[in-house]
Amino acid sequence: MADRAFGNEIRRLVDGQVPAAPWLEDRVMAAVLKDAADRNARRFDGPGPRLLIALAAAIIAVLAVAVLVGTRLAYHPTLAPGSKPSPSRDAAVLRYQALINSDARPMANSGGGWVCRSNQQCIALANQTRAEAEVLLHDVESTPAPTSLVPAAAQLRTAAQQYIAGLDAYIAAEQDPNTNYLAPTGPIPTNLDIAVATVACWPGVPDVAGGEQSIGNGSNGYACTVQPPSK
Amino acid sequence: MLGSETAMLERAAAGNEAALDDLLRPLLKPAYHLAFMMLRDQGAAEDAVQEAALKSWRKLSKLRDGTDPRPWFLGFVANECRNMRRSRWRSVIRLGDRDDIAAPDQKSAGDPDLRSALASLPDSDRVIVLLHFYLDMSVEEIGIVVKSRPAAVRSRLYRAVKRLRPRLDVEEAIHG
Repeated sequence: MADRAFGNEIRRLVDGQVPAAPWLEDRVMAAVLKDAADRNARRFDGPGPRLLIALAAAIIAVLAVAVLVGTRLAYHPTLAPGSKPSPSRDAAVLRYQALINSDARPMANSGGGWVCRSNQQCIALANQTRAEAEVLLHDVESTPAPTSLVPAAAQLRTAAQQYIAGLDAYIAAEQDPNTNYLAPTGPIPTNLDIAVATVACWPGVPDVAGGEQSIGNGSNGYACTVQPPSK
Repeated sequence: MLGSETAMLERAAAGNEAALDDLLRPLLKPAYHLAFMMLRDQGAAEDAVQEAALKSWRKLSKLRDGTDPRPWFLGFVANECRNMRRSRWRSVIRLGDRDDIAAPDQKSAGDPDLRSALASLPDSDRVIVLLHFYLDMSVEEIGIVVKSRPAAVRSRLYRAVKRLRPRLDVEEAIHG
């Protein structure tokens, strides 16, 4: 009964490590019930200021898109809706997406190798990640983005610069001989992850609300929400 | 039975306190154990469970009739843990923290080689091992949690067990 014996070993191991948290159930249920009550209250209060703001933002966005499309059609009067090949089949877009994906993949690897136990180890790890981020930034800055990805590329550039700056600060803190290696907190690459996903998902958008998911090989990433083609 | 479950889900989705309690409370302890083993940090594990509970109840109306809520909910927990692990610097600190301050009785809990091997598994494999051997979930249920086909889950489980216990009869160890 290798199954049972091994299962028992795992159970013993887990039960021996997990600290008790008797307050957790009440804490979580209280949070959920409060959230439920808030939502129900909003539902009965009618459209609140947030909803109105969201509605106004949506209308402005639609108008902006309409103006952009109108301007574009004015410059290309022969371009009929639907005559343009799907952007996802644009070779330049695919090449650019492949480049960004390839640069970002080393940084997306969240396998079991993130442990450091000294300032020097933490610095080495940070430097390695910094070098990977530099490669990404270099490619973003030196490779012209296809027109449709220009805004996403600008977002990616900013996010990469901020992430590198955060890494520099982290490395500097770790280099202080009086600093315990556990003390400094490194930058969290959420903005960079979203920026990469924005490029990779185009013409869809990353499912940021759904959070990151396993994408195989021990890596994580955002799922893409494919937008239906406009008619 | 299905009718009463549907009614309970509807009440829970509407924010009914008793229905939410019936649905979520039994899932919180296994969720916390899973989260702790993924994150190695009590505070982070508690936060992950709370965030998963909030997200899952907001999407409760999407839970289809007859769907077992346990793998569905643990999917949210696993996703939250991945998000937290993704902020790698936090995990660097927490992992170092754990090894340095673990209480003596915790350090002696279980086979140290197995503990170390389990800790060194990639997150995506460790979650599968824990779901199968700790929470007794079948490969089909795990597939719901990790959004993967049962065959792929079985294959990853096989590989992971081989790494944890090279001499174990893996086929015998994996059930369901």
